[in-house]
Amino acid sequence: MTLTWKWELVIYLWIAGIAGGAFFTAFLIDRFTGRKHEQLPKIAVFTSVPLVLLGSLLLVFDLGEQLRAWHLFTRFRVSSPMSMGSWILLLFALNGVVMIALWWSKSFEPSEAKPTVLSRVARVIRPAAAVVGILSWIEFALAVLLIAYTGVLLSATNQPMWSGILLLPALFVASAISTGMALLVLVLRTGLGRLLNHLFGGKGEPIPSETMHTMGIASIALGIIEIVVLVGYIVWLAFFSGAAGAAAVAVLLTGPMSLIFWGGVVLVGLVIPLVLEVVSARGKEAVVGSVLASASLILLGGLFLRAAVLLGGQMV
Amino acid sequence: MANAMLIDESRCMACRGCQVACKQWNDNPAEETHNWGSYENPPELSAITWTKIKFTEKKEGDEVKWLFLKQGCMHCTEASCEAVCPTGAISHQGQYVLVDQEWCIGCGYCVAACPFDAIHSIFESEDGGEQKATARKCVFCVDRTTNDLPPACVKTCPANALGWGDRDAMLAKAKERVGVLQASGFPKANLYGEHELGGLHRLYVLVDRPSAYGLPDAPKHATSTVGAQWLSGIVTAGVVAAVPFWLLFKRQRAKEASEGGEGQ
Repeated sequence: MTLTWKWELVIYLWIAGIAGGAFFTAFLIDRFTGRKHEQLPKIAVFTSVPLVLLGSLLLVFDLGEQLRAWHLFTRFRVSSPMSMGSWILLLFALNGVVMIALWWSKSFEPSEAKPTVLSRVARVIRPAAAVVGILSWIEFALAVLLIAYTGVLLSATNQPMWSGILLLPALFVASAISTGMALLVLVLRTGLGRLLNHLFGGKGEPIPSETMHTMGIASIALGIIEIVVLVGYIVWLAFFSGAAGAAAVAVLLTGPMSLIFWGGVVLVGLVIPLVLEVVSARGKEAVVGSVLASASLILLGGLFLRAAVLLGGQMV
Repeated sequence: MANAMLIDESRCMACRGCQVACKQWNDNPAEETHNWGSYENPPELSAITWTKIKFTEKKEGDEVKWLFLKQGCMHCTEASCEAVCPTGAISHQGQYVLVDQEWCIGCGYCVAACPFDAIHSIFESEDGGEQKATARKCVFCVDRTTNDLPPACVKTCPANALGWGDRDAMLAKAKERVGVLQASGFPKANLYGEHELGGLHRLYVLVDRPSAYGLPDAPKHATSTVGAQWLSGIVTAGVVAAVPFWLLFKRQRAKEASEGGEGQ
């Protein structure tokens, strides 16, 4: 048994999901609360763009011929999820960089002294800042495609654990949003969020505690959705995918991936954070330690899920 | 007019001359192998082993029977590797499915997509480690066959199990052989490859069900449901957006509005 895709791809699928999920979450919270959280999408872009760039580096590192990576951008092949994914990654990162530049130009305070290069740049691009709203809708659509693609990449193959199983993209999307929101919570709960807020000319005001509370409840809902999809995926694999599907389930539940699956995906990634969150949500004030712990565990669980499915899928 | 390879597994005696001839003609180095309990060696196809005989032991009554299968690229008409290749390095040239070695980036997607596990990008390097490179597989000895020579494996086969020629002629020959086998004590004899994936360019005469040899009974194209897969991911994102996020934050907003109203 040879593994063509190893840890680089595991980490890549994980952080691409986090990046897309973080912007997805931040954008929706801002829109659904009537634009009361304009700093959230900014913080999300600022964290997700570096993640996507890091992920792309891992992807290139994993190639057999790294210096030919640019070949990816000479073709647009709808039938190939990897081709579509490369373009989605590129556009997500580029669009994010443009959004950061526009936000920055809006908040840039030119110093009273002589104009600097930066202030000139800010003055030149500031008129374009009006389109940042449209760009954030585009970024949202790209985020959805990005997190969907990490699952489609695997299901458009002929490996029994992945092949043609429609619940695999669903599982990866659920996990991506869950881990993306966990990262947002971590960023907001540690001073990093305020730092980023300052960077965009905000005053570093914290996110209202009601919002943090609602995010906690949303995280519980996401955990439950993920469990439902995960169970559906395993059942589909075990009973509707023939002998090879059953063998794939055995790899996950009792075979070489069983420790990662039961310990990492189920216990660390789903059960413990859910218990922590439910306990925490009952109190009036969330216990910061418990929130940080559950967010970190959800993030780890996402990594274990990618490892179990990506590595295990090549062992069937 | 497409050519095809005919592989008559009822004649194969697993001498593995084809494996050696393939390596010699295509300049592929040998692999370090060890005894893993079978004469079958190396255990798997790789980026430097493009064809090999797979041994399957089957118990029939008290007897153990061997089923031999010459593995390698089927040059499918509807080739999964070609569909998923992100750079277009894999393409059809007549009946050949070929990887442009100068254009392939070695991403390994075709390796996961192939229904027959016939294309690989990893091989054992001379120091025993693993090396990742461009995707490689059987090329039907394109440099021979475009010069009216049979592929190296066909040329070397001493059992007359391999044939190369016009696909229709090979099909006719295979069907005739299947008839002969069925009439002489092999009722399960069948032809594999005529219609699978739009027609394979390797045609097998088998004496048992394809799955008994380890071949997929109904091979699937890797991207046959890719549209539904995209939809599944997008719909899930929509459901998540609606159920936890929209509902919860709408509630929060309503609560804030009512509290704000009381305060005034």
